[in-house]
Amino acid sequence: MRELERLRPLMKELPADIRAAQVQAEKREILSFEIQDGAVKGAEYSSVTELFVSAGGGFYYTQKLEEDPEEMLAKAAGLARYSNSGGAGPMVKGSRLKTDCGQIPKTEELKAAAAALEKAIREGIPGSKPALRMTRTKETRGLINSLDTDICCENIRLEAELEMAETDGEIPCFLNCGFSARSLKELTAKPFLRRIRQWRENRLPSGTLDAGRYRTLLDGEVVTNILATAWQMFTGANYRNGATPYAGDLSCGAADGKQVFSPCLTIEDLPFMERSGYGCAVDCEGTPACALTVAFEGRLTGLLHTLETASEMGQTPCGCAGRKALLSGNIHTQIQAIPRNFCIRPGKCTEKELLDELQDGIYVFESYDVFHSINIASGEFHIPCKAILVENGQKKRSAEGITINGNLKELFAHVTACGNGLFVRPMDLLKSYAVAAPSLLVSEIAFTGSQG
Amino acid sequence: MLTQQEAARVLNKALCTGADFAELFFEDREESNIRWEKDSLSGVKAIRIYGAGLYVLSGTGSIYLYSNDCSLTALLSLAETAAELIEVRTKRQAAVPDQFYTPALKNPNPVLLAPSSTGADRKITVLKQTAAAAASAGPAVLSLNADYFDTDQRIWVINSEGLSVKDRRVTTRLRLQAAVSDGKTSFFNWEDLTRPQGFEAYRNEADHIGFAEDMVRRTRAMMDGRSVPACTVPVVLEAGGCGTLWHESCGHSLEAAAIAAGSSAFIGKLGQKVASDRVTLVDDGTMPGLYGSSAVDDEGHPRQRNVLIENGILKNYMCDRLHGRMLNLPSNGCGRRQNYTYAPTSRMSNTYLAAGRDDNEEMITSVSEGLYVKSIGGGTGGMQFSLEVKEGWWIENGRLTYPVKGLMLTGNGLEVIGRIDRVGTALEYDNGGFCGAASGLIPTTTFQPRVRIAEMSIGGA
Repeated sequence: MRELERLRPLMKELPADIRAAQVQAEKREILSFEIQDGAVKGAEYSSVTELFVSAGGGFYYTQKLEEDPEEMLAKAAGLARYSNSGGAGPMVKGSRLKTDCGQIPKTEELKAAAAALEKAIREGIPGSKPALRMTRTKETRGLINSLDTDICCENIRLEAELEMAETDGEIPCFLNCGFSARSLKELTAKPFLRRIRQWRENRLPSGTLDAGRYRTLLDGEVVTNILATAWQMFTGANYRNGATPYAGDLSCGAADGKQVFSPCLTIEDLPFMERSGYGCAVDCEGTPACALTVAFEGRLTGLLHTLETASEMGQTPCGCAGRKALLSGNIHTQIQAIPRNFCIRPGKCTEKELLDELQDGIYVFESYDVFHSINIASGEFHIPCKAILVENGQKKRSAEGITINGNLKELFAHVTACGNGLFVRPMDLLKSYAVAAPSLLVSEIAFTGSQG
Repeated sequence: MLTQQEAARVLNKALCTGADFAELFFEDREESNIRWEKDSLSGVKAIRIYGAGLYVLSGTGSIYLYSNDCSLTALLSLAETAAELIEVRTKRQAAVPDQFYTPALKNPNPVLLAPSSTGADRKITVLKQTAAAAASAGPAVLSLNADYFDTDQRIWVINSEGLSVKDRRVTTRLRLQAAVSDGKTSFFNWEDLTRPQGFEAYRNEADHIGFAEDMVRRTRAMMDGRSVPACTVPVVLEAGGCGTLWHESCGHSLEAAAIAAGSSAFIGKLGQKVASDRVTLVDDGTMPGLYGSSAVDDEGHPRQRNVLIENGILKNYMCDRLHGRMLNLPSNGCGRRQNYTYAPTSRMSNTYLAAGRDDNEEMITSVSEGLYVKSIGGGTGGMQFSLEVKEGWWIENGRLTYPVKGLMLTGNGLEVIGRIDRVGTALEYDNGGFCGAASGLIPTTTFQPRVRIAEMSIGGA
């Protein structure tokens, strides 16, 4: 990686007062086009490289690449006296991993693909006026350290995001959805058309909902919205601190461990996943990425670790060390465990079979603001949502202004069936990982009522 | 950074294929972050954010490009890319004027003690005091992370209309994240103490120590309350930070970007009655001492006081340059962004409900059964909004009876602001926090006098 060249000699011959050092580089090049009515409405291009310099326990982050490399190291080392780590933190030794993302779509290809996709969606839904943004992101992660590690991994991600506004009578309705992939050919109109049709079908006449406990079908969109916050319940740091409802539940072997999940639920965190452009072959600490099974056959089987928490708990890290976990009012310099593609494995039931199985109950198809409505330490949730009352397996009328309430640990234990579809959602705004889930049938969830 | 003449070269290059506006946004920001974790100092970090964004408009089409290579060569190359990317149907000959002007500006948040001139040891002392206060605040704190942040942002906006303006924004912040246990279960909470100031913000120890103690007390209160059965009752929201109601219930929907995207319930309602007569809503980026204030917005436009709703009548939207163009409205100083990696868009700053004439006590004493909300956490906005009740009490026969827990206030913004039936006389400020949206996380405040909503559907498990 070009940006690390000037620092590489320093890693081989550290200044006398520095015992260990590491430099990580993250380069992100983005190109996007926004298309509406067949015309380019906007475009974005960027190239930014960040350097994370650790020396003797001190840390310096910079985007000013023309700074003198020795000064960068000295700035980090100058802060080492405030650290209790005594080194540059946990480091990978002697790794030489290199991956290449291969051919990436050129500017004109991306623009043409965006225009074609927007046209296919517009023509697939007569009378619609979608705004489509297609983005090509090339991420390069490099890491060098004084323990002879020299890593460079590339990843290409293509994303299509759609915004669409309609009115339902006088009420404005707004849809925002997106899909990611690793090649342009995987970004087709089909999932968008399905999503738009579902969005329209779910706009049923509004009715009232009495507060109470109901058999519930959670749409994959709602489950992923929950997972976008709930994954934090499965980090090594929160487990160690007792700040998760699963504290003490980790299974040590196949026959061991408490039954804390429904047996039909398998939760994984995958370095790469179909229908997702997210993931990387190596994490921010240089650990090669591998698949992690979090929940299997009812037991908690694994946690998302950094090198530090994996070492403390005597476990093997799976390459989950990252930085951009959640929105935060500062630059993400802190290493912490974050997912890559955090997902619930799909089951075998079609949507119709799930509705038939539900018979009489509630189908929740949209939810909001899980960041504020789930407590990751207790598992308690109070999630605002939109739902549809289902009678005899048929969708009847909608209910807005309601919340689902309970504890996620109980919810995950009471899943009775998983849908065969997979809804994939990127982490909004930060775009650093994805979550994915099928629809889940749950034996009972508490609802507050609505006025209709 | 470039000279003014070099910047003009870049702007001219960006305009060469017929765009009608170009702007360069330079940013050089230094931050420090000190973390206290697991009963000890885990490190001091120095951070340098540095780069430039090039914004090019052609009518209502926009191109945004950015890089952390701010050399003339790199920015000319960026401008060339911009000129290639923009699709101009009717070419216009725009050119950057020879002379640049800088408007007269007033910094609403002057700095007395720059963080960069304050040693790390003093900052560590403040952090230790805060962490110690939280750890000893009573209930069992299972895990505690405390962070100190300061940021010194210097920006330069120069555009093809001849504007050249520089601004400096200094802020400091303490963040506490804790899991608190009552012996049976644990509960996670985080809060920020934000200040649009330099290190002088920590002269009074009682402020940050009080913040830490209150944070732990509030976390415990969130665990201890009783659930509320589903019902429709009057809701009284305390003065100060409960003003987040306005940010989420209608603030986002009054941003020009939401109007232009068709995602707002306020579309086409300028001049119409949209709220109770008691509602006068203002967004003001000029207010001294507030977290959402600055001399100029991130497009170089001087900040201003915008009356959005006056006595229930919709008066204005918050406009940045691009979305103002889409609505045929001028920018009113609301173009904001987290940093150079985001194009500016219309955002709030200090959003508040103006004081009314109603008696604070009567708002509660006249309620036979209802909810009193003392403190609100975060939420989401739009046509349907939601807000987390951090601290609430149940009202019976005009008196606060017991604390409640596990409540989200949800509703339709237009409906709720139409049901405001009391607005108190005393407007109280709030420290503020961050609003996350399309152009990143930006500092904002939102506050109010005590208000009452005549009725709202609420209820927990």
